[in-house]
Amino acid sequence: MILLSFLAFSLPILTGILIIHLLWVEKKHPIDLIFKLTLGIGLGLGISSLLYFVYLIFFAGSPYFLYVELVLFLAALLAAYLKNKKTTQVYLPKLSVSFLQITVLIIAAVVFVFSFLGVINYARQRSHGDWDAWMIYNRSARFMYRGQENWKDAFSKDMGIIFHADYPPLLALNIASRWDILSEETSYVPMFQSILFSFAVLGLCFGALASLKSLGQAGLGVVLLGGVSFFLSEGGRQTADVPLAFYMLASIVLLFFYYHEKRPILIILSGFTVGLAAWTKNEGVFFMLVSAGVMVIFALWKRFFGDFLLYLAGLLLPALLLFYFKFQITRPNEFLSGDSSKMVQYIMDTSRHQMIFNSFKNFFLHGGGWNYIGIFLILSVYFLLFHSRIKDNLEAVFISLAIFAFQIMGYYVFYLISPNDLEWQMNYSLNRLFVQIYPAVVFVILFASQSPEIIFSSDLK
Amino acid sequence: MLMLRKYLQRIILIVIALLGVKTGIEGFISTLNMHSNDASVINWDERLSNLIAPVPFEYGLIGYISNADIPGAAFDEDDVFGEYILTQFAVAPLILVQGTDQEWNILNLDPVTYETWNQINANQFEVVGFGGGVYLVRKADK
Repeated sequence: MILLSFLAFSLPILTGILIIHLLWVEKKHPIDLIFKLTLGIGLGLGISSLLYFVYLIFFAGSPYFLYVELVLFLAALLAAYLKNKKTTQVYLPKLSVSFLQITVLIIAAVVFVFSFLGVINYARQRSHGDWDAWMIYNRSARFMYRGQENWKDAFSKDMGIIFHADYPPLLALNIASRWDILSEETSYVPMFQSILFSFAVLGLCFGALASLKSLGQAGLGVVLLGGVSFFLSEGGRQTADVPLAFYMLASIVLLFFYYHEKRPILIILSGFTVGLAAWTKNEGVFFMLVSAGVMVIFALWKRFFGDFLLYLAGLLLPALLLFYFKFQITRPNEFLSGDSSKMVQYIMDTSRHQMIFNSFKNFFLHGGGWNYIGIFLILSVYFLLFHSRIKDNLEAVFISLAIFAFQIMGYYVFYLISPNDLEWQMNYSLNRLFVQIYPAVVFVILFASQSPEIIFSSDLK
Repeated sequence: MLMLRKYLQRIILIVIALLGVKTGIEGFISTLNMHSNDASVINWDERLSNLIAPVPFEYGLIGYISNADIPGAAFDEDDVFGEYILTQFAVAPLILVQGTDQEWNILNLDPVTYETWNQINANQFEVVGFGGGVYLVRKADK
């Protein structure tokens, strides 16, 4: 069942990889393959989840989803074959790697191997995941798989509020669809899904930095992601934070590629991955609003709405399905269904502000890093010391930083209006909120900083 | 000045690389000795699926109470919370609702608390199943 569970993911993953391959047929470097593979994993899983949702709406209880995925895969395969035929054969360029780059890559490989083995071992020891997995994602998946025609019960208004029936269903849909395909409810499926997303985050950050910056910077990206315990320890828990981190990172990376290559499909895909972030977790819904808001401001500033419209076009499908899910299938969110007078009271409460501010400050100064020094503090100092003159992609850097700033402000406001016990909620979730934005922050900071190749060069400029 | 800055940057990069490797290895080692929670999930799953076997429907609502719902009963908040989550996880696609207003109900009560509950609710419910400290009861008038 281990192998079968893994193979059950192969069709959506291969479809995702082929779609990404279609975008960059000419890119055939081994490094580009890592980028295509990892972006394809997340894209494929996202598409499959949307597809299964539509399938359930119309054909719940029918055991033919595998064939739907097979048709999509064959279509992508045919398109890739036809495009490959039209493209002039490109021979693999000889990879020229300096001694310094080899050194950084070896270090990155050591970090990757150990941290990834750590994720696998965690997932293996806790094959059912942790609390949130039982409460939300795997529970919803059980409802869908066991309930078949009654799959909507997974998101029922009758469900206790603690089960977060309103949470977006990407993970649960993927688990249920794999169980459907395997005709067995095995814990290997959610386990593999969580391992796949952990792998994809590392690979995407590495591949994107290698493509846009340098191999040394890409290796450093892996060290910063895999070498901090607060991030990858989430990877094996079968929760939605690392998948959400993946889609946030993917949307930012695709934005950088768009401003680098100016191909409309890239900003459409960026919008699509923002939609997938919203399809993964409620914080992703906020990320979608923030990203779209920042893109509007940027369009107004530039007095050009072309990019924004393309972005919206990519966002459209997942956003429509999300609205249908939120308004037709599930209950209102606990934050939005509360008493508005109480919310005003919370906002005016200075002790709440102080508590949230102190927690944010403590996390910034001491959370997630090394030797009690916070990883976001380390990244800030790193950026001050290492920042480089950005020649291209300045727009993408500004847009990303604005998105991060608004996202963190949003987290602050959510805590402020939270109907739950504030101390409990902050202890339980603050760390994970920063996990969600961490890979994208690492990517942007490293993109805007000098690479190890420059720092260790004999050139003083 | 530029040279000094460059040396500082090199030292920082080396330190980051070393700390990254150290944390990566430590993270892996910590997972070797970690406590697995699988047994408790599987155990609870088995207990509950045996318990609800007599329930004649596959979908719909089923009531649930624990020691926390009985005034004066002793309980551990973490246990109550954890068992509530695990019970819903186990009985899916039945939806757990708090209280005993449903026709079928799960009572997660210790023996002493069950006796207290039974004295108050005598003749209103019939015990259909019992296992591992959890009761399945059905409203007697239905």
